[in-house]
Amino acid sequence: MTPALEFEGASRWYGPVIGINDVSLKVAPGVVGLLGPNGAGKSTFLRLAAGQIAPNRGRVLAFGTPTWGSSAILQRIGLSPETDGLWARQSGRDVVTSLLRLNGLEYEPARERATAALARVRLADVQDRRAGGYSKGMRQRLKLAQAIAHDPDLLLFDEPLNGLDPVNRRHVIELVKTLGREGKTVVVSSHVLHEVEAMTRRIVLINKGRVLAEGEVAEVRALLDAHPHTVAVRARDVRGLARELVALPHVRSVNFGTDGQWVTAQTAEPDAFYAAVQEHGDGCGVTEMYATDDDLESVFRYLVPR
Amino acid sequence: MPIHNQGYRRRGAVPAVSGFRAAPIARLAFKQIVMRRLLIVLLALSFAPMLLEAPLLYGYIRYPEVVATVLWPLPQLFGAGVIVQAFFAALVTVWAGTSLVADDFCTGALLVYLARPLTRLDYVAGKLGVLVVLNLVVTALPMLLMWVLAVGLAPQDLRARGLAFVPLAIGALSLLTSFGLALLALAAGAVTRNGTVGSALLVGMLVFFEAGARLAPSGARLPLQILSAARHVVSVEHALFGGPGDPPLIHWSAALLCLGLILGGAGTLLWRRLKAVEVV
Repeated sequence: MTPALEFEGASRWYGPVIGINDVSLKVAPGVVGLLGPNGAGKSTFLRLAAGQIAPNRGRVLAFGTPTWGSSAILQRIGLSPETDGLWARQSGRDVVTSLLRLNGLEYEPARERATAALARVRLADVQDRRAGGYSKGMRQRLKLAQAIAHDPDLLLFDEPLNGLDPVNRRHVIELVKTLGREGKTVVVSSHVLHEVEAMTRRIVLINKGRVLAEGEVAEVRALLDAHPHTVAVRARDVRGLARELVALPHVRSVNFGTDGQWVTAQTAEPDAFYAAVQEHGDGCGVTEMYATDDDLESVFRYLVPR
Repeated sequence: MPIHNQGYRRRGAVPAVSGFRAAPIARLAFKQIVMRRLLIVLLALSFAPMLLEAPLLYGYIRYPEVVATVLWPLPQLFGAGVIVQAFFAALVTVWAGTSLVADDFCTGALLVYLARPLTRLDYVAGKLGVLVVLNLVVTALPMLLMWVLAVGLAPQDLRARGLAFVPLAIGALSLLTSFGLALLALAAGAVTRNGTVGSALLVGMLVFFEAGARLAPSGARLPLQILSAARHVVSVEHALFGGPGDPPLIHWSAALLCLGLILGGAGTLLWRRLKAVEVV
């Protein structure tokens, strides 16, 4: 099976500065979060994927075809870049129509698709206003509209939630999820972790041009054995529970919560820990238990040194 | 991660496109230019010299003995006219040309264009094409109208006054000027990534080398003439129309070569900038 997007040992540098370094990965359909701090190489990753720059080494393929130097494959790619301020003098609908004509559509079909795409990002009521008068959030949605208007299979969104108010943020998150469910491959770049977490559990984490981790957030977290897992347990007899937990060989520390109802333990073997709590928990009146650091924030904190 | 077969999925995507695709980008560039109303003013202004040239031409045809004592021969008058029009083409280019590429860089539109089935060659050809056509409207069209007027006034003099080959010469010189200005403007816009700064750079270079070529001490004049695109255009004009006055310092063939090198350099700069769109 041909992956939607594939990096084969791809590197790109700008003089002495490395954009991305020896990246190899395959991206399957669905939503994938591209995460990393500023300057990590996210934009370089997206521009290589969109065929705008050539890798200095290795290859970048979309649907089995190198993205650089093959304009035909770009018909199946939609890019929403981070920069905005596009085409201020034209109406939103004219902007999308004009761009669709670059995809080879005649005027009328392009106009129809533009109208549909703008409705999908909730810009239908302002589609005939000059784009220069749009708010930042509207411009952001305009960029998304032009990216999805030609119904591409691979979508590359660079910081798509920038400038959006909470209502539109929720709507765009839902749109991204819907596109993923439709079978599109959606790569969403962001440095805001909870935004990505709201859209997908699949991530590619990059820093200093290298892929640090890829996969489900939970899978990635499970691989981080160097960092003990933190589990919070609520119980009626917190002292009795703490005694039991401290005795376990894989438990490294135990802390009490300030309200006297919670115990927080750090363990190197979470599965064994859960089994032990299940075994001893009834006597201590355990009512609730959850891992506090299997979220994206924790993965990011552990993998990306500050 | 599992890789799913996508073959079964319904696709509403637009079909693949191929071939030379400069037309859509030219259409966009044209829209970008005509939306600025100052263009109408500049275009109107560029036809203003005709108001002076038409009576002169009439006088030339009707009273050749009188006018010939104060004016150049007729073909040379057309050559000088193209050079005057080239000045207006430079104004249009400075105003509209540099921002054609610079705006795309600084707004990020270039990223969106190049993420579509469009090569860099399509992009350059589209932008360049619009600007060249616009410049031709300013340089060639008024002079061709003047030629039609001259022939209309004295059709029998077409060969006697050396007017037969004037349209070709007007076309060649206008094309050279229009193409050169357009390419320099796009390169200046790509280098500076700012329409205003690009325009200032273009004007600065044209004026500096032209002024230097005319005013510098004789020792420094030749190198400045070699770098002055305007001087080379004048050399070619002199060769095509048998221009008035002393022959230029640089022979027209050498002028064409120098102009080719200057434009080649500008084209290379433009191309390198377009290949490195990542720095916005």
